[in-house]
Amino acid sequence: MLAVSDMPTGKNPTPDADAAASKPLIELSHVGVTFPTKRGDPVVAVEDFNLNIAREEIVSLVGPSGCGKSTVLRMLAGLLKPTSGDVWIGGDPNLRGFSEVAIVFQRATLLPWLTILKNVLYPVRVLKGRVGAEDIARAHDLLALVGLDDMAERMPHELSGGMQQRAAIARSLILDAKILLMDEPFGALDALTREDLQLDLLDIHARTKKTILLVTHSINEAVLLSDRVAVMSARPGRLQDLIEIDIPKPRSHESAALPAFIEYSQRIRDDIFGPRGHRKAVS
Amino acid sequence: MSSTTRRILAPLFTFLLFLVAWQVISWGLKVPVYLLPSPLDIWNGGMRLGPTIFSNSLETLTTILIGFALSCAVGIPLGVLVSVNRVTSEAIYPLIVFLNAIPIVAIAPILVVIFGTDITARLIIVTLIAFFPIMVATASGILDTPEEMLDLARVAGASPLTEILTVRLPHAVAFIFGGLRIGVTVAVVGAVVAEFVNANKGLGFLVTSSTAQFAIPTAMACVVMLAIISVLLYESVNLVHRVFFGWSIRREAGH
Repeated sequence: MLAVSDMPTGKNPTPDADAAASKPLIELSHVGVTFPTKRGDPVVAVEDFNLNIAREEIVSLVGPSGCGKSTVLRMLAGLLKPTSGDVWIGGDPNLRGFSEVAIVFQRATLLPWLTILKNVLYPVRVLKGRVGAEDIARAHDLLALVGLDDMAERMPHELSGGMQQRAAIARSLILDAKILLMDEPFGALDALTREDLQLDLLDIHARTKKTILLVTHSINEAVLLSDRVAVMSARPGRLQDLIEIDIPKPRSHESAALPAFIEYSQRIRDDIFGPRGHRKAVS
Repeated sequence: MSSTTRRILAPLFTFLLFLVAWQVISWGLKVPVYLLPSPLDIWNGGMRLGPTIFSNSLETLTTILIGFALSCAVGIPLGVLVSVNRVTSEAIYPLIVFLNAIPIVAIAPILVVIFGTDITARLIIVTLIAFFPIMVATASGILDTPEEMLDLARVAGASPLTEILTVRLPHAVAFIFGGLRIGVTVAVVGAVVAEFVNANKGLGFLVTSSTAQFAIPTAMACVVMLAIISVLLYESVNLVHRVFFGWSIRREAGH
């Protein structure tokens, strides 16, 4: 295991760790993002956005297209700077990079010239400049975790879409970042593969105790996977509702039949579409 | 017949048919040799040169290969420079376009005056003509890099140089080879032009000297040799692409 920080992990909770855990790992306070446009009027993508995420929590961001979900994610990944407000990760406004924050995109984004193993090791290669034996061993462990241990030497194009996304998840875990950002990670997959990977993600979370921020279009997915669901409204993107999902764990697709699950889903749907949502979807 | 043998035999057959038709028409119409030699005349012209044609081919090939290597060494880094950074692009692109706009045939004699009659002038001529397609192709490849791949590199903490080396350049490989295929064929043209104006050996020199003596079949034999060299070099670039960068061909074929 790569030690990336002296912070306690969730695996052996101590009184100190509990104290640390009470402080949110991710803090977004009064964050605004404005994009300049060539025509003049700047576009406000996110406005006065506040969200705290605790250690080991899974939080989903849902909302209509263009509500700034991905903007929030890209900001946490360090790909984008907030125009106003503060973004704190682990109490430090400057923590960035795969060692602290890892990201999984909608598309697997494996580099087609590298084998699966080397793709998983890519963040190590960028961070350290070279890949050691222990890194390779860790990459094999992660590939085993996502069920791809026999695919290490294959090229990305030889794998199905679901397998490619599993490899991308393994890559996001290679540096043992505490935070995993997922931008519609299962959005490009077929429905069956998607359900399969959702359960895998719950399993990976149970084993690795990552803090996960998930952007999704699927209300069902948000309720199934999350501890809390943040609903965003569009133009400008604001936090509209924050819902604690109190459904017992471990969850499975059978959880979707629980009355509570259905109530949560309906509440999110109402948040997004308004009261008319029962009859007519607003685009 | 398997598809592989058909792919080899079918064009070979067409080619032979073309030669036979040419030969028959030459005999039938009694075309004078100094106007258009028949394939057999050209063959005999080549045989008359004997081993000389090979030593001269080697001379030309050397010019082409070194010039082509220089074109890659100049074209690929320039392609990166003009595509990754707006300032460098704005600063050097106009100069490069200007250099490329110079008619190579016009400047070749001047270069000979400046650099003398050794290989230097010839290499400069080849490089001037061949670097441009390589540079443009590299730049298009660099700019074509998918945004998500760049995001991946940035989140991983890659410096701009690491980003170029680990993501942009590998992605550009398919494009670069497109440029190399064009570059290698124009390098042949460049070498011949260079030998026209400045050489006492090489196929370009043989063409001019034979033509001056009305030895048209000999000149044609040299032209045929040049065509063969051009095709072989083109296929060699393809072979290197397939053997060492096979993944980029598969991706090009697309999903």
